[in-house]
Formats: sequence, structure tokens, C-alpha cells
Amino acid sequence: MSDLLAILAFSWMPLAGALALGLTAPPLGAVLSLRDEILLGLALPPVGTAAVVAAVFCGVPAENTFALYLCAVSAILIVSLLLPRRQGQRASGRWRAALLAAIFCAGQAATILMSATSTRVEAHVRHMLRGELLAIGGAELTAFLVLTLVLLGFGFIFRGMIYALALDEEGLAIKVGAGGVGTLLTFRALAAVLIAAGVIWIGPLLTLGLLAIPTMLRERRVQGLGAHFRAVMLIGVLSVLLGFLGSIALDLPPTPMVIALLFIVGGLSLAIRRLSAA
Amino acid sequence: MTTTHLLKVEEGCWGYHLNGDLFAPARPVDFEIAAGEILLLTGDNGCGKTTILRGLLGLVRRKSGRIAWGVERDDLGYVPQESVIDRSVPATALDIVRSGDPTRWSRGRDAALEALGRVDLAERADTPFASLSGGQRQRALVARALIGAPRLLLMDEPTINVDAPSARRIGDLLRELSRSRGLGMVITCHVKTWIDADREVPVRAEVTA
Repeated sequence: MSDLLAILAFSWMPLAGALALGLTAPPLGAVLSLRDEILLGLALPPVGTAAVVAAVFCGVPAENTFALYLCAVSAILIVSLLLPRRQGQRASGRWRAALLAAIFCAGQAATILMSATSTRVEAHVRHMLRGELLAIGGAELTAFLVLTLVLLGFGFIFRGMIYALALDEEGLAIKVGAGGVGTLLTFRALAAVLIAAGVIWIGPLLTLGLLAIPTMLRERRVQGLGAHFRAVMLIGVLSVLLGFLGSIALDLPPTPMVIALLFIVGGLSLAIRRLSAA
Repeated sequence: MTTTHLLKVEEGCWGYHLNGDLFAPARPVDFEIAAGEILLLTGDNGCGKTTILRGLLGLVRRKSGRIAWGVERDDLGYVPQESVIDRSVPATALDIVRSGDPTRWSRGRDAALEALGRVDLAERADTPFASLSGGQRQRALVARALIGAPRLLLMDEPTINVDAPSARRIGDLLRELSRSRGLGMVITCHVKTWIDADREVPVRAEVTA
């Protein structure tokens, strides 16, 4: 027990950062899934990663994580804004899915190429981009926690607009006019801000896992939108906490432990719901 | 005596960009609608009925004609086909209806329940949207449009995915809403037997060389 506390005293910042991501990424993933855009959650972290590597490749100090963060936000925002909207055969859902898979590949390939051609990149960035939770310091954690509060506050206050955007974007545009476009742009910007923060300070694998797994496990158990969003947030937070503790206890890397716990906690929540319904 | 119209269209024609040109699938139409009236835009599949409706909603560009609105944008309600909402979403009927007034979500529960009551779905408020029948889903979308207290409803093929008895039930509901609340309705459809409308405007496809 004293060993556990000693390790926690040393690594509470990464845990706090991961918990913040566990609160915010799952509901973002839920919105993306409702909009049939969950593959954005797959494609955008590699875009952010590639932007970070490109920045270091071009001379940005690897220690300047805020500069790297701005590069990642910019790249993710540009890609998500340039993504063609579904418009019949011109940009069908299937074609968009293929495009996002291609963007994923391009981001991964660019990262590997730049890492391979620059020892500076390879040395300084590799630990950050392997999903290590130890890549967050005091200043970054403060910024991330402020970002978390802003996102949660925005999400709660404007949840009606977000739900409408998720369910029927065209209906929202008809209802609120130009405000519908503003809502979409704001959503894209906040998604870029969060995904970039997750990629830089928590790790791309855990970011993707928190985006996709909770909503995948819960979406088919309909309880209403509010309950759905609360459930995915609870799965995210519990999985991060238990996964982190499990990684300490078993002396295993924290990211895959959290991923495993996402499936376990989510699966348990489904089982509990089925038992209570029966 | 003058009749205050909610909407008046003179030689209205709307289209979308195709191969660099603005293609209008339908010939220009003329119609006007007053409070409490139900007007059907009828025609074959592909004649451009939906394009006219989307043009009135500002979703496609107007090619020609004049439009005179007797209502504000906030007084306009839109009812799409029930297939527009992915039926697998983890939302209840109440969620779907509340999304019709997204800026007032936190205060909209009572209004949404009232709207569901008007379409005889109050007892289904907490039912998953996916579990509703096609007719019930369509009625939920009518309730979604009603939550904003509109004066004019634009509806796109509301019975296209619905069986005949359910379609007739929707038609009776709309007639009752029109009479009791003075709602004007412009409805596109290619089958007319499901509703007792006041007038019909046939839409004809534009002839292309």
C-alpha cells in the first residue's frame, strides 16, 4: 500500500490529466458517433501526431509543448474543416469513411518517416507519442484542467444545440439559421482543441480509445441522450482510475491497462443493465 | 376583403448547381397559403417537389420568382421524412422532440411533453425512437416541429414510409391541428388520399433537352 501511495505521489499529474480526458473524450466520441463521424476520432490523432513531429522536424523545441500543441490544434482543425460533408454521391458516408482511413494512414506514415529521418525527432518525441502518460507537467496539467472545465461547461450549457447537431444537422440549420453553422464550427474547434491536448499530453492511443470505446459499448442500450452521455463519462473516468491503479499494481504500461478497463467497465455496465432490466 | 397570407410564391423556381449551371428540376410554381389551410404540392417522383420545399427553407438557391413571407423565420416549422433521423440513435421520443427547440433544452421538457400529447404520443415519451413504428416516428417529428409554436409547417413526404392506416391517421391529425391552431401547412406528396387538403398545386418537372 505504501508503495502504491509513493508511486501515486510521483505520478498524480498524469493520472489527473488522464481523468480529465476520461471526462471529456467519451462524450465527444458520443457526438461524433451520432453524427456518423467516429472515424474522425481515428483519423485526427495521427494528424495531430504528424503535426507535432513536423514541428520538431522544423526546429520547434520538443520541450515547448504549448507550441507543439498549437501546431497539433491547427492541423486537426484544418483537416476536420476541409473534410467534405455528406452530399449524396459526391461525398457519401462510405467514401468519407475511406477518406478518413486514408488520412489515418497518411498521418501515421508521415510520423514514421519524419521520425526515421531525424534523430532529433526520434529522440525527443518518441516517448511522447507512444502514449506515455508521463508527458504532462504542472503547467500543461493546469491548462488541461482549465480546458476540461471550459468544455464541460460549454457542453452542459449548450447541450441542446449539440444534441440537435448530432441528431439532425440540417434541421438545426433550418431552425437557427446561421447559428447552425456557428454551432458546427465551434464544435469542430473544440474537438480539435481536445483531441490535440489528448494526443500531446496523454497519448494518441488512449485518446482514440476514450473517444470510441465507451460510446461503442453503450450506444445500443438506449436510455435517452442525457443518460447516454453520463454513462460514457462514467465509463471513461472509472476505466482511467482503475486502469492506472492496475498498471501500478501489475507493473504494466498504463495506456493498454486503461484500454482493457474500458472494455471491462463498459461490459460490466451492460451486464448490470441487462440484469436490472430482467 | 384581403386575406393575410403566410406565404405567397409567384413563379418560384429553385435549383442546385450541376455541372456548373443552376439546374431547376421543377417548372416555376405559383401558390399562396393562409392560416388554417393545407396545401399539397403534388407530382411524380423526381419532379422537384422536395427542391421547392428546400428552396423555401433556404437550403437551395432560388433561380427566379418572388417570395412574400407573412411569417418570421421563428414561426416556420419543418417536418422531414422520418428516415432523416437515424433510427438507431440512443434517443427517446422526448429527446427527438426537445431537439426541435435546441436553444431552450433545459426548459423544454414540458413543452415537448405537451407537443407529444398533441400527436397522441404522450405515453411514448420515454420510448426509444428506434422502437416506435414508422407512423409514430413521423408523428414524433411533427411534434418536434410543433414545439416552437409555428404558424406555418413545411412537410416533406410525411407518409412515404408509412402504411395506409397510419398515413390516414397522420392526415387526420394534421387536419385537426390546422383547424384548431390555425396552422398553415405546405406538404409535398405524390399520393393524396391520406389527407383532406384545401388545395393542391401540381408540380411539373422541367423539360430538359
